[in-house]
Amino acid sequence: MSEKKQSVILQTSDDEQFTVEKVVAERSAMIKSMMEDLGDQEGQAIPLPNVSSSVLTKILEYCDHHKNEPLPAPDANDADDSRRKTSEIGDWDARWIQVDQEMLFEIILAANYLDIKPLLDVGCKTVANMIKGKTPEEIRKLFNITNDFTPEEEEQIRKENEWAEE
Amino acid sequence: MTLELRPNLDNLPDDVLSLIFRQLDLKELIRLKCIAKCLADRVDTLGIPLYSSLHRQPHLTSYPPINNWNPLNVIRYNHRINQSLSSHSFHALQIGPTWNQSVIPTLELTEDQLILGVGSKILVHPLVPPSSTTLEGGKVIDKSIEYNIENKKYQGGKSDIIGIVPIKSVENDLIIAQFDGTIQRVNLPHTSNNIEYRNSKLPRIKARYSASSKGKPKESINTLVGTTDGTRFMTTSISGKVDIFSSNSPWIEPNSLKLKSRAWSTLLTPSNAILGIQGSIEIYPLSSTGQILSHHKRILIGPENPLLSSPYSIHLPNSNQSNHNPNLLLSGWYDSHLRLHDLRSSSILPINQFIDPYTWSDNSAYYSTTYVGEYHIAGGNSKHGTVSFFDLRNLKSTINNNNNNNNNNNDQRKSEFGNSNWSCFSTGGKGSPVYSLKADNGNLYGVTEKRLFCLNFNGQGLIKNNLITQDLENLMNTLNCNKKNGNGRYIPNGYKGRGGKWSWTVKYDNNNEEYKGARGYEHRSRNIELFDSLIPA
Repeated sequence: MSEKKQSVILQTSDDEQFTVEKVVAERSAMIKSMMEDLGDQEGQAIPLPNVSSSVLTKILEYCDHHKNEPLPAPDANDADDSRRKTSEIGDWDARWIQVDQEMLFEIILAANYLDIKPLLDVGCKTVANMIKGKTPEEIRKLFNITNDFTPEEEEQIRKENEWAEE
Repeated sequence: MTLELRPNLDNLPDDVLSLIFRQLDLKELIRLKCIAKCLADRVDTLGIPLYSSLHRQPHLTSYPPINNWNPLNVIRYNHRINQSLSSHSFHALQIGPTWNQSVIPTLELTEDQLILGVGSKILVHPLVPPSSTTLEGGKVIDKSIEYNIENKKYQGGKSDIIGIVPIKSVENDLIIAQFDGTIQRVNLPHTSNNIEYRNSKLPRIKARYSASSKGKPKESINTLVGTTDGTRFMTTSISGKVDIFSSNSPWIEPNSLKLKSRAWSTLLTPSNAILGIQGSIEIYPLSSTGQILSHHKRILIGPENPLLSSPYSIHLPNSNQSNHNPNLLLSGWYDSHLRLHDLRSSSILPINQFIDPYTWSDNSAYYSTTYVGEYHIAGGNSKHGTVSFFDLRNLKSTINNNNNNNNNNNDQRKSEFGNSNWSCFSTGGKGSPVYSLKADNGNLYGVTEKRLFCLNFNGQGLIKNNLITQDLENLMNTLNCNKKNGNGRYIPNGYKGRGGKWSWTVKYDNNNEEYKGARGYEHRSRNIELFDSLIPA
């Protein structure tokens, strides 16, 4: 059946085209369903207006590494507790996701848009791990968020939240 | 000038941010509220409702009803209950007077009542709104209304109530089973707005049910359990006959089954009849009409070898109200272990077991067990009236590796002596076994052969008459005053390591310095150091 190398063309927001093996591309549930819709229209590029070429290059690396793993069940929902509880990130994934913060969020948004659930999970867990064990000031610094509370407001909020620190 | 928004933590879409939020524990989530206004807002509108839906506890008896609470207050309240359970900071007190005779009582909890079967009496403690209505918390236990189940040929313990099943759809309708085999549907004539209808009353009998042994004398029965809504109930006889009845159709013959020996413990869900018999738990699937599909039965065992222990109590969490996994069957056993079986697994062995080293060395069986709070399980012991608490968070990924049960025995050993596990003696002096436990809304109610008691973890006990009403308190004080002489209370005061025996002090009632709380000890301590519970205001 598969005498020809099965591939698909992806076109990013900055108009670059990537020719990608189908098994790699279909890690993305969104691309997979678009390929099914396109059927046999060979050579038709799938537009990805929300993904830049630099982000897609990075994500394709991930998809290629994981291409032989079973796809998550399409109906696997967020409340699935087995998925929620396994908060460990694999070694390869952990090394792969060591990127600057802007790229990290770009990857997360692209994973969400492309519907690559395991990747979205890895990204969100990475962010959660960055938050864990840090003080509010450290978190602000890390994510470059401006504190827009007045000192009085901040003190009041701190008091209101004291119960959770126990 | 258009500035492209750089993606950052505070501007992620809701679905993505909620995936991050769900990885955070409560402390981390609440801490994000201090970062900046925008993030505080996202935590309030997205994080808090998400956390509250992922971390539920049963609040059947909360006041006001839990759905009317602000989600943040629910989380805070639940957090307090969890903390109190971990740090054994709780109020303990006996509820109502000590019973004159030792009995095997039954205990049921509904939205607004504690219902007990004590000998041939039904005691109903209404749960009423607290007098200070500004506080979110729980209902208050009022003094009991007493009913007698009459029996023409009353013969000692033969007419004792062995089980009560409240029928949810009709106020105060109950199924009552007695040891002599009498099974009736009764209505208790008091109503929530006519609570003064007290004193010894007779319940109205609405129907009688009979096991299918026509002509033969009634068999003695030893257990009665019902589905949560009370539409179906199951009895077991001491010869091992199991009957499943439909509450609304007393004229229909029950679906029956004969076991090799008597059932020690039973549980009925809409889809399964679960029976604890000698050496194992048998699970019989039920058809939608209640037929017992006996050729599809499953067997679970406790200790791998020898199969001599029996399960004395079986419990499943109510998945509508809590986040305890509805597939984890909790059981209390003769050999001093609580066990968890995963009903999704094909293994017949438990995925975890729990012991209190001190009751274990005392050969004290678990007679009752329940899930409590968000992370804990509790077990009531046959000796000394102790209740043990185990924190399920001490376990590591027991569910994921249940395929290699033989290999994780070492893990089990470790978890048995988890760090924050503890036990306490029930209140009010010597009285054992703890026959039944019910947990809700940060309270654990229990019954021993002598009394009803309450262990309170939500802080209600801090405020006077927020746990029991003034009426009930007055009644208990009067009764205690009437029994000044020779009514010593036993208080545990130590443990002899060598003989493995508890020592007790007899304390004679002395109105001023009578100890009303409960003593406890941590499982990890090598030498027993007793701690005291808080005394309700």
